[in-house]
Amino acid sequence: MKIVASYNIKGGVGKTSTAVNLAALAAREGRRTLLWDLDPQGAASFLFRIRPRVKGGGKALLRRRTTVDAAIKGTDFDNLDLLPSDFSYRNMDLDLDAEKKPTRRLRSLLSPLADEYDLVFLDCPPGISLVSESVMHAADWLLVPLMPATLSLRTFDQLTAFVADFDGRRPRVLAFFSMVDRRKRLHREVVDGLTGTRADIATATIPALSAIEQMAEVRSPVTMSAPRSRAAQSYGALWADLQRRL
Amino acid sequence: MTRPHTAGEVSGRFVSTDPDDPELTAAIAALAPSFTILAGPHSAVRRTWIDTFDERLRRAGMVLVHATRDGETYLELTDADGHRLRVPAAAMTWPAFAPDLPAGPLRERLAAVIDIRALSVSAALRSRERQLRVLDDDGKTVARLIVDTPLGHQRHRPIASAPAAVLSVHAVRGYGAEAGRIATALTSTPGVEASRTSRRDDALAWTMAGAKPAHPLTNALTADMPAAEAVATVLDGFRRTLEANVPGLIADIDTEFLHDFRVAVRRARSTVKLTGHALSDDRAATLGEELKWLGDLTSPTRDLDVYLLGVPAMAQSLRSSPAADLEPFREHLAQRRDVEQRRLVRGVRSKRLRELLDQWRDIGDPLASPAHGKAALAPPITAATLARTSVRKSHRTVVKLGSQITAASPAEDLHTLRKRCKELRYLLEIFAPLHDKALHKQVLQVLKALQECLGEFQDSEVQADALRTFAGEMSSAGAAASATLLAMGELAAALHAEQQRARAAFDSTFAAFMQPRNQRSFDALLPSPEPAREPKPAREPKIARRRLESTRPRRADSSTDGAAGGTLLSLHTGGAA
Repeated sequence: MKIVASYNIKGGVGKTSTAVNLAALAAREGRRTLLWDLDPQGAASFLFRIRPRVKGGGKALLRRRTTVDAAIKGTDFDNLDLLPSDFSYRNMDLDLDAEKKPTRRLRSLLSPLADEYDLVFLDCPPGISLVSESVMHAADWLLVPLMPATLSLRTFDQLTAFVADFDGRRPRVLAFFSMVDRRKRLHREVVDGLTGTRADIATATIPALSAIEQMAEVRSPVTMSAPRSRAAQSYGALWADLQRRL
Repeated sequence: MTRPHTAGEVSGRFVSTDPDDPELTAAIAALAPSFTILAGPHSAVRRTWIDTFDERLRRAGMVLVHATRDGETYLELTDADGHRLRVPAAAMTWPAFAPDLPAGPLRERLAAVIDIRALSVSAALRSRERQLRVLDDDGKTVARLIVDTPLGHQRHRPIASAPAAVLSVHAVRGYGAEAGRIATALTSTPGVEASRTSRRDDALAWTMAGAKPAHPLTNALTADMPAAEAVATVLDGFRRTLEANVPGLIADIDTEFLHDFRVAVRRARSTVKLTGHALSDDRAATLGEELKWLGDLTSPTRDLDVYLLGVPAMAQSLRSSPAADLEPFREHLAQRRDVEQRRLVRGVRSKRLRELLDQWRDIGDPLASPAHGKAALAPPITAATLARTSVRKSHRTVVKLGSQITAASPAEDLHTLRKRCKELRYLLEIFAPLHDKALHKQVLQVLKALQECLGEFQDSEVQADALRTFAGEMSSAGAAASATLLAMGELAAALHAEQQRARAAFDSTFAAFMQPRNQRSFDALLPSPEPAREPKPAREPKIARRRLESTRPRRADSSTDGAAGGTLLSLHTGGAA
C-alpha cells in the first residue's frame, strides 16, 4: 500500500482536484484506492456526495474509538472508497498533540488497511501544522501542486529542505504546475523554464480550466464525468508520471 | 467499492415472479420514500462458475466467475471477505491450470488454493441483467439492486426450474442501514421472497452442470448400525468417488483425478481386506482380487505423474548440474506417461471394470446380499464393534511389526510396516464418525508422522531404482546425453541421502508413536460395550509390551488403560467427524 499526499502550504492551488482525480484514475485502472479527506472544509467528500461526518469526529478516529474501517464509505465508483471529512478535523492539531508520537499517528492509523488497499490518497488542508507534519510522515509521496510563480517555487524548496531533515523514513516529493494559464506571460516563463530541468517537478501540468472548477457543480471527478476532456487528459498525464515513480 | 457477501453489508437476495413489474421500483419508492431509483440499461451477461473438481475454491470461501458482459470478458474472484478482484480474460479456455491465468494478484491468490489442480467449469448461466441504483437525497448511490433474469443456453428462453428473476441488493460500503431498508421494502413487495441460496448454487441447481465428487467417507455411519450395513455404506462411498473421477481421468484434466481414483481403490481394498468378513458372504474376496488388478492398472501412470510433478523441484535441487540438463529426462517421462495413460484409459473403459463396478454396486447394497436373510437371523455385530475390533487388530499389527524393527532389519520390513500403517490409517478414516473427535485427531497425527517417515524411506528407494531404470531406457534409446545422465546420478545420490535420513529418524518417530499417551488414545477411540459382549482383550505382543513398560507408569497395563478410557468417554455418532 502506497500513501500519496496532495499537499501545499497554500490553499486554493488544486490539492483537492488533484487528489480526487488521481484517486479516480487509479481506481479505474483497478487499483484498490482510498481517499482520506483530511480537510475540515470537506470539499472532496462533497464532490463524492458523501456527508462529511465521522462518528465521534477526528478525535475518536485518532484514539481508535472509531476504527478507520468503520468510517470508510464507498463512492459511486468501483475500487474507490472515501474516508470522509468531519468538521472536527479543524481541531486535529490539538487532538494529535494530545497523542503519543503525534507525527506517526496517521500512518499507524492507516497501517491496518495495507491488505485492503493498493493506494491511499490524502487530501490535506493547507498550512503547516502538526497535521501536515503527520501527513508528511505518513506519506510515501508528497504531491505538491504549484502555482507558476517565483514565490511558489521558494516555498516548494523550503518544503523539500524540511522533509530532507526528517530522521528515518522520508517521503519523496513531486511538484507539478497547477492552474496554469498560458495566456499569462509569467506562467509561460516559469513553466517553460523549469519543466524538464528538475527531477522533482513533473513534466505534466494541469491547466486552469473551467471544467475543473465545475466539478463542484457536477459533483464528480472530471476524469469520470468527462474522461475525454482536456482536463481529464491533463490529470491522466500527471497520473502516468506519478505511476511510473510509485 | 461494492463488497457483497460481507457481514453487515449484504442485504439479501430475493426471487421474484415478475422481474419487469414496474411495481417493484414503485414499491421500493413507496416503502422508502427518501430514495430515488435510477434504472440502468439491460445487459446480456454470461457467467461461468469455475472451480477445481474437488471444489477447493468453494471450500476456501472463494467464488471465481468467468463472465462476459456486453462484450467485455473478465475473470472475477470474490474472496471469503467479500473482496473482489477483476481482470480482463477474453482468451481463457477451460480447463486451465494456475500458470494459464493472467499474471497478477488474482493468479497468485488462486494458485495458493488450487495448487496442481485444474480449474474447470462447474456451472454456466446466461442472464439478462439490469442494475438499479438507489440514491439518497444527496444523489449518492447507497445500494445497487441487480435484477437478474436467468436464461437457458438458448437465448431468451427462461429456465423452467428457475424463478423469473433474482434480485440482489448490494450495499455500498458504509451504507448498510440504507440497504437494509431497501431489503425490508423488497420483502414486503407482493411476489418477491427472500432467497437462501447463493447465485452460484442456484446456477448449479438450475443447470445441473458439474458432477459433484461423492464424499467418500459418509457421515451416515452410526455406532449401532449393523456392521454389514456399515461396510456396505463405506464401500459404496468409495465406489461413488471412483466413478465420479472416471471422466476427469479419461479426459486427463489433471493428475488428481487418477490420484483420487487410486485412493478410492486402495481404501476399498483395505476395507474389503480388514472388514470384509462382516459382509457374511465371500463376494468381498472376489472384489478384493479385482481391486488389486485395478490398483496395478493405475500404478505406472501415477508413478510417472509423481515424477513429472517433481521434476521442477528436482531441477532446482541440482547443485553440480544446470537445471536444463534434466529436460531430456522430463521429455522421456512425458513420453512414457502418454503411453501408460493410453493403456490406463483402455483399462478404465474395459468390460472388466464395468463388471467390477457391477459387483461393487451389489455389495454396496446390503439388501442384494444373498446372505442377507441368513445374517438377519443371528444377532449382527454393530458398526462400533467392527470398528473397535478391526482398528485394534490393525493397530496391534503395526505395534508388533514396528517393535521388531532393529538397525539390522532389511528395507522390506519397513515397507511392510508402511503398508500396515496405511491400512490402519484407512480404518481410522472409515470409522472416524464413530470415534472420539479429540482422540481421533491425536492418533491420526502420530500415525501420520510415522507414515511420513516410512514414506520418505520407501519413496526415496523406489525413486532411486526408477531413476536407474529410466537412465537405462534412455541410454538404450540414445536419448540420454552424458550431462543428463550425470544430473540423474546427482538426483539418485540425493535420494539415497534422503533415505538414510528417513531411516535414522525411524527410531525416534516410532518411539513417539509408542508413547503411552498415544497408545491409550488408540484403545480409547471407541468406548467398550457392556462387559458381556466385550470380546476378550487380545494380548499385546511381547515386544510391544516390553517397550510400553519401559515408558509407562507402573500402575497400569495396556488392557486396563483401554477399559479406563472406555468408561470415561462418551460415544460420538452420526457425523461427529
